[in-house]
Order: sequence, then structure tokens, then C-alpha cells
Amino acid sequence: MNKQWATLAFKNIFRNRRRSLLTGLAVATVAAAMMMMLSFIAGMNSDLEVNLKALETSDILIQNKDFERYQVFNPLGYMIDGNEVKNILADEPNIKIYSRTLLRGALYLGDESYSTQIMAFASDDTLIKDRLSVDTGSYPTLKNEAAISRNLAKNRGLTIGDKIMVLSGTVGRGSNAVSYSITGIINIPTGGYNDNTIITTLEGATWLIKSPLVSKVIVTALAGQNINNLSASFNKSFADSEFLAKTWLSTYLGVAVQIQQRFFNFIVLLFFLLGGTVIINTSMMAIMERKKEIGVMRALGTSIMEVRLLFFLESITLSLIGTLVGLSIGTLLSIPFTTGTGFLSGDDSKAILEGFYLANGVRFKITGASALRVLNLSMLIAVIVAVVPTGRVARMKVSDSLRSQN
Amino acid sequence: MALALLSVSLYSQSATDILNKMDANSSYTAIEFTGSISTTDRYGTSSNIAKVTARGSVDTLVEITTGEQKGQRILRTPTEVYVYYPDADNVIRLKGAALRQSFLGGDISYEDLTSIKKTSDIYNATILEEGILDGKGYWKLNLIAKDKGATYPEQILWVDKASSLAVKGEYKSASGKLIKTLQVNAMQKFGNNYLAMESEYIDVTKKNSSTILKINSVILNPVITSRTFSVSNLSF
Repeated sequence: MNKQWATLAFKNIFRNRRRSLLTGLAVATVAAAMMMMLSFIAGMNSDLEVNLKALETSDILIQNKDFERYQVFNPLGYMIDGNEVKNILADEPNIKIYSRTLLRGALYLGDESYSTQIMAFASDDTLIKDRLSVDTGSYPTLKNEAAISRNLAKNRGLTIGDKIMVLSGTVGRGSNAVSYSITGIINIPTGGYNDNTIITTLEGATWLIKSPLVSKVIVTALAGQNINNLSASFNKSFADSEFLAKTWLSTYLGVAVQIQQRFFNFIVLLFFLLGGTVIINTSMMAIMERKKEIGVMRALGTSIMEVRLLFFLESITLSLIGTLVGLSIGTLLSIPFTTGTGFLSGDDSKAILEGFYLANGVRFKITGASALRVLNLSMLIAVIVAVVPTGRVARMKVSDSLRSQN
Repeated sequence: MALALLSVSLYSQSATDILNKMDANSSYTAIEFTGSISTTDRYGTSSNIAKVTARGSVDTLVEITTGEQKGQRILRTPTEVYVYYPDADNVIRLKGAALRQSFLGGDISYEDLTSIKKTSDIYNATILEEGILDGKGYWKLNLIAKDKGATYPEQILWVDKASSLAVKGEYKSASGKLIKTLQVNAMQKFGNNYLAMESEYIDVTKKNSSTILKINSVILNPVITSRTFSVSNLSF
């Protein structure tokens, strides 16, 4: 019996090709747009997380326990001994430890000074080096060498071999200025960092702030350990020290990123509602057009359930075909933005993106989960459309249905 | 206003006269002294020793001789303030907000250290009272900045009558909020001038923050060459 209804539904789709094409096109357009939107959002969320972890926190961030509270007033007063942290965690298996320093300073070029940030990491810090790319030259290796970010070099007319003078506070609450030779121009995958960052060796930062202390130590879990348990274990080891370990999600940057991700997901939800409305509207119009047809079917003895089943099968088939076509188109259109600088890589977009931990442009990320979400939405709408308006029309008096203009 | 005029007329000399005497007291033909600068805050105490060479009321050269900031030199000329750091290739000319940065992390700014203008050029003063403090006569002055750009828009100074030295001070914001205090704990006469041998600055906006300047040795009219107050001498 059901096979008969399925055959009839399939025939109905081809019986009125214009109507079916319009409905399928609406579904395909929404599915393609949704797929691109989800790939865009997935790319942003992925970039956010990867950049944050590579540049700032990795899986676990270890700082002075009062750093977050007082860093605005005196960040240099809450630095830590990176070697001491490494010694305490020496017996921890399957982790990789990196010492990092990040501080504010002023770049002096001639008589002008510019606000800048100094970033220092070890030469074997592959976590950050994998995320950065060298435009020209190389990373610094000596204490009096520095690399500078791409936009800083461009905006200030600096090049390899130039000397720059940097002024900063010192751990002893004084000030110090040192001169570095530029060894390389580095592209940092976040707008804000790319504008004003000077990269030195850890020894170079020690020279500037007159102390071997570092801003933080970050830890990567190599064997997929539970980072909450790992962080708790670190804090047990740090019981008698000034150190505090936090998972990247519980740092203020991690929380900020999660808020951003939720915001992006909210935008996705709005797009789902918008897309859903378009499909519902198109499908309902298609059903309302067929009131008379439903009236004839009911007059010939077709039950309400059978009418619903017929329209359900039609709706599901059209939605499935439309969604699959749309997903294919959306995926094909997204592919060019998955590599290189991606989408929104112009100067105007950079101003918007630099507030986030995002690349200079956003790279799309095509995932099966995104496709599944679009398919689920499409099928859900197909079911709703088949059940609710069809049921309403099928419950109308047969005489009313037959008197209908459609 | 009428009250202020009345109060001025009641005292034996005008507030401007007192400011001029203060400025004259701080001006030496030439002087060289060595002293310590100890800064205490919530993070601990740090100490640097500096040699200061001054000529007239403007030219000043500060050289940090021991401590973390060893080798740093600050030069004040009639028009500019320059800082030399031994690990930097060039001398930094301080301007704008940089002048208000903390000197050696303490409660004194570079502007405090090297203020060029006479006090009477920057402030309008009125006498608040005349009294006795620690057995010495003083004038209590209220100074209001003539321009909005002054570091301290309002000051209350207790000026010792005998030495014309401000022995106590309260430095305030435009809204009248107390920012910093000064207490001179010891003074000594050199030639015709009095020098504060121990001064304590407290930044009341920070918890447990103070800077103590102590002068250990003084040489009046030292040999000063034409290069002493030159920028080229800073990095020499």
C-alpha cells in the first residue's frame, strides 16, 4: 500500500514540474547558503581556537596566580620562573612545555615612538612557529636580534638589517631600552598581532626587562589526556608555589573565545530560522495551490492520513533532492575559501577581524557535521510542512476544498 | 576673591615673592651631589644610587651609578629631556605622556625630576596660613595651575620661612583629589641655598607606595665642561 503512495508521490513531483522545480530550488538555495554559512562559522571558530591555543594558552596555561587580577596595573610584577615550572613538571609524561613572554613597549624610530608588543619564545617552540610564517629572513637567534610582524614592517618602512630601539618597563619597576637588529619579517595569523609585534628570543626579552622571568608557561597535552584532570594534577604539584594552572577554556581569553563562538552559533541559528522560513513559505504555497486536488482525493474516499502520507512523501523527496543539490553547490562554492587567506582578507575586513583571534582572512572549514545539520533542518521542515498545513487542508470540508480556486 | 585679596594683604610678603624665593633656592651656579633613590611598593623595595650634576635652574644631568638601572642617564636642557640607556644605540627624547612616566618605577615622574619652568610661571599662588611646624615658621601656600596641562593642577605647599624650601606638599588632581604627598625629613645649607637631604614622596593612589630620596654627598661649584650638558655626552 505504502509503495503505491510512494509511486504516486513520485509521479506527482513530475506531474507539475514547474512547482516541484521552484520548491526544490528554494530548498537547494537555502541549503547551499546554509552550508556556506556553516563552513564560514566553522572556519572562524576553528581559527579562533587554533590561534588562541598557539599564540596564548595551548591546552593549559600556567601563570603567577595573581597575574590575571593585577596584570593591568603591573604585568611585569607577576612574571614567573619558567625553569622552576619545568622542574616541577619534569616527571609528567606526554606533555610539551613552552615558556613565553608577552609585554607592552614602545618602538622608537628616530624621534617618533609607537606602541608595540614584544613577544618572546624559544627557538624550539614549534607550537607557535607552525602557526606563523616567515615572509622574508629568519627568526632571531641572538639576544640583540628581533623579527617584526608583517604590517609593522610595512607601516614603518622597516626591513631586514635595520636596527630598532625598544623601550619597556623592567621587572625591577624601572625602564630600559635596547636596540635589536631585524632578522626577519613574520606573518602572524591575527590582525592585531600583525600590526605591532616585535618577536625576540627569550634571552632578548630577558635583556630588555632585566630578568630571566617569563610571562607564562603553556603546556600541550600530547596523548589526548583530559586537560581538566591534567590541570588539577599540575595545581597539586604547585601547592607550595606561586603558580596556577588553568585549562585554556577557563582562561579569560578562553572564556572570551567561547562567548564569541556562542555569538557565531547564534548567528547560525538566525540563519536557520531565516532559511527555514523560506522553505516553509515555498512549501506551504505549493500545498495551498493544491486544495482542490486534495478535495477530489477526499471525495474519492482518500483518508486524511493517506493525504498526509502522500504529501509527506512528496515533501521529503523534494527536500532531500533539493538539500543534496544545495549541499553540493554550497560545498563547491566554499572550497576556494578553505585555503590561502580565505574570505574577508581585505584591509577593511581586517579592522573587524582584529578584535578576534582570527586570521587576516577567514578560511572556511567544510565538515560533515555542517552538512548533517543542514540536512536535518531540511528534513525537519519537510516533515512539519507535510504534517501541519496538509492536515489542515485535508480536514477542510470536501465541498469547501472543491469550491477552492486552486 | 575678596577674601583671597584680604588674606594676601594680611601677610608680610606675597605668595609670588615666596615662590620666587623657592625657585631661587633651588637654583645653583653649579652643584654635584650623590644620593640614593629607594622605591617601595607592594612588590618590595628597590634602590638605585644616582649622581646629579646641575647648573643654574635648568641644566641637569642624572646618572644612575649602581642598582638595576645602572648606566641610565637623564639630561635636562633648556628645551628638552633626554634619556640614555646603555643597551640602546640612540638617546631617547622624552615628550608628551612619556614625561609623566615613573622614574625608576617610583613615585616621581621624569617631569617631576626635570621640571624646567619656575614655579611662579606655572602656578598662581595664594597664602592659606602662616604658622609653626616642628618649631619652624612656615607659609602654607595654595597653588593653582595656570594651564590645564600641568601635571598637578593644584598643590598645597608648606614653605619653610628660613630656607624657602617646600618641606611638605600635597599634590592634587583637577578635581581636588590628593595624588601625591611630599615630606622633607632633613635639610642642609650649602652656600646660600638649602638642599633637602632626605625627601619622601608617597603616591596615595597606590597602596604602600613611597619613594625616598637621600643625598649622601654634595660638591658645590664642581668643574663642569661644555660637554657636560650635551646630548653627545650622554652616550659617551
